[in-house]
Amino acid sequence: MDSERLGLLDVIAEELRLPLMRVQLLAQTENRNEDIKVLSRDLIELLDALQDSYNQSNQSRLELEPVNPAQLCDEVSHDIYAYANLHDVRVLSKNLNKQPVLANYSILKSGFKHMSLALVDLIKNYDKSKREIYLNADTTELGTRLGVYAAHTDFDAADLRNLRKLFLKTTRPIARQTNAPTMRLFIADKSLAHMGFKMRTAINSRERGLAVVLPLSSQLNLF
Amino acid sequence: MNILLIEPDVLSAKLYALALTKSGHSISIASTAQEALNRIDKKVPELIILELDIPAHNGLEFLYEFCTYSDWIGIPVVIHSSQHPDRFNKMLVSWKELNVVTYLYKPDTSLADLQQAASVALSKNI
Repeated sequence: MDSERLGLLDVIAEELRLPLMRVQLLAQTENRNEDIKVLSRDLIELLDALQDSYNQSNQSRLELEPVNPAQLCDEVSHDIYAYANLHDVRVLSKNLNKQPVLANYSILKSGFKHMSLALVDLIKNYDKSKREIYLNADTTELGTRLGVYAAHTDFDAADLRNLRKLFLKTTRPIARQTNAPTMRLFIADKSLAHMGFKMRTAINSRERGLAVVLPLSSQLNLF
Repeated sequence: MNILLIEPDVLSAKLYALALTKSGHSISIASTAQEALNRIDKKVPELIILELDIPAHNGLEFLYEFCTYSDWIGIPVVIHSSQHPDRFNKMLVSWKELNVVTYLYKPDTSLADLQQAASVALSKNI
């Protein structure tokens, strides 16, 4: 087995440990059945997405269709709501771009969903007043940008460095040093890469998060 | 009794703190080693419950640093960790020298076990 796969197996083993222990802990606490359901379902979906991201690489032909980015933001924000709510993270959706793009809907949605859940996993350790993210579809010079961002831009420098470091970890088998959702980022990165898209960190004076640009060539111009 | 819980996972920390509060203890929570040191500086706890798997600055490094401060030598530590104790065998860690009174492996430890271990550690330290 090559070193990348070995590294990924190590990451999977580490990253499943904590959610499974949370389930075990909740099972000992009264009135937490709904939370157990949310966590268990999230784990199963995570494993499904991991398998899918590998199976996708064996597909030679992708089925493409028009995808409305704004609607995708709404759907993903709805899908991640329960998990985010469990960690007291508020999810908003700001949809500035409704211009459709040509993409494989299920792969794009999976990639964007896991990007968003990765940011939830990062932000849930912040002070409660800062635990808010927003999903956004907007237009840039390069194309349609789908992004998920922390609503508060005062991530400190260490967190910004960790955000970049953890993103790099998805492509390198480095021992885990931060409490980072590398498996989700790996899934997001693989899914999006399969369509020729690239997930990036979005760090500037206004934004702190993750984004993917769907190039102009994938945009549909409807007359 | 005042317990400092060092636990990076917010959800887990809430649930552990709830269980320990039910036993009548006052709990403060730190999610990183630095935060823990700052909290001990402000108010010295009677017991520390420590997860070793702390991001960036791991729990073992925290323990070694913690034990260098003479004012804090008497504070007992209960390790409550997702890391199996066998991982440390090759490192020949002397838990006793690091003030560790018991090592609890999370998957094998119920909330009731945690409450019990905290009470035992505190009663021995009085």
